[in-house]
Amino acid sequence: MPQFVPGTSKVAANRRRQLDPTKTLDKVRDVSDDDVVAILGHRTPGAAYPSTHPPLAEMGEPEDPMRELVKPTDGAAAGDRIRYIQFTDSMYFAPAVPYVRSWMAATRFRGVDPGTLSGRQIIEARERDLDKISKTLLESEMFDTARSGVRGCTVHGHSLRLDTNGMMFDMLQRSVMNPDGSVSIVKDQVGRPLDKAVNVGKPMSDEELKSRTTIYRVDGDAARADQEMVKYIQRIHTLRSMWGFKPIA
Amino acid sequence: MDTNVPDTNIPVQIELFTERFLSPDMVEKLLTELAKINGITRLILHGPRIASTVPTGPAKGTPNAHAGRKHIQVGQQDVELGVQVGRIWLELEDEDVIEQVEEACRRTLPCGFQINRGLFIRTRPTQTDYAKWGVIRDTKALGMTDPKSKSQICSIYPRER
Repeated sequence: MPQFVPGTSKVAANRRRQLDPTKTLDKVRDVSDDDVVAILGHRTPGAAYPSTHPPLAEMGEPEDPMRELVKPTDGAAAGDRIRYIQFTDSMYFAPAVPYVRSWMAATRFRGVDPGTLSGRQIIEARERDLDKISKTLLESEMFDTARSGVRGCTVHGHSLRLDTNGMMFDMLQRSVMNPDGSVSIVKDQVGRPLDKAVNVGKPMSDEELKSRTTIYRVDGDAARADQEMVKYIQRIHTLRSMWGFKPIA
Repeated sequence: MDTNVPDTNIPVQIELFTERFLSPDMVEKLLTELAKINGITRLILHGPRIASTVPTGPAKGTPNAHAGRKHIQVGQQDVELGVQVGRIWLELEDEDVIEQVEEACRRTLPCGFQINRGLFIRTRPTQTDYAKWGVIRDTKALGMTDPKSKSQICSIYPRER
């Protein structure tokens, strides 16, 4: 039984749910395949996948027991390019935080290269695998239309105050709130205007965000109030400080 | 010995810090209210920049359509907002004006706000000021410009070198 993160708080439970691949993420909206491709901006919706090498089946690979054991992903088998999706999550109770997103990508998906930066999180994968991963994430509880954003560049906003309508600041304003309160994505992740706006529905309420978030905050679930989590963090810190990467205690 | 001698040279400056970023319409409303108050000598709108074009990445140079980048009318003045306003720094003639500012904010702002007292606009020129503008004789112009800005926002204060 894998142990993902310690803690008795709601935040810790949410982190465990997002990280555990045996748990299904709640689906909270529908985004069509073409809309996902448009938001990513790597190719035109409907276009064929460009390849970076011939399909593995045609390459005449040498015999290797590891190759037989590890089945390539669809994208790797077809020789797709490696492409990315990058998320920015507001510190105001966004459903996910960059580190949890990276752990989640590593535990839930195959053939990915997740990376965590201060206020953003990137997942690289073969293009057709990435399309599936992006669709899963955009439709899931890990994405909120106001407090999360798909931002390939100019990502600033995760630690800034919100706009008066509750949206996270985005210098490129890739998503806008409609008069009916729903949110439309109007630019792809690098800031090119989309031919057709993608309506991704209404943002979660503050109460729902607080119940789904994986962020410890003093005005939500405070990290120091979660004694079990603090105890384990201190234990790991002590072991790594005293014995580095080879703890003997 | 009493060391708390008030320095009359230190200007009265306040920072208006809002709980949320303000929309251009909200900024226009607030500035119109502030313009009615006698005793505000200088005012700076501060917040994250909204570039007119995409500054980095594959879409670099593409026009950046953004609702926050808008022309607003304050009195007779037309101002193009280049930032999403989150702080407003004000220099006042005296402390009595603070109350009037607070009242104007209560009337217009849709969110909570703080008013902090401090020194937010510099009183002495920096080396960068000298390199960029030369000797600044008009002290009211001091600190009103972004030294890193390459835009023409500073052109109302011509170089004197």
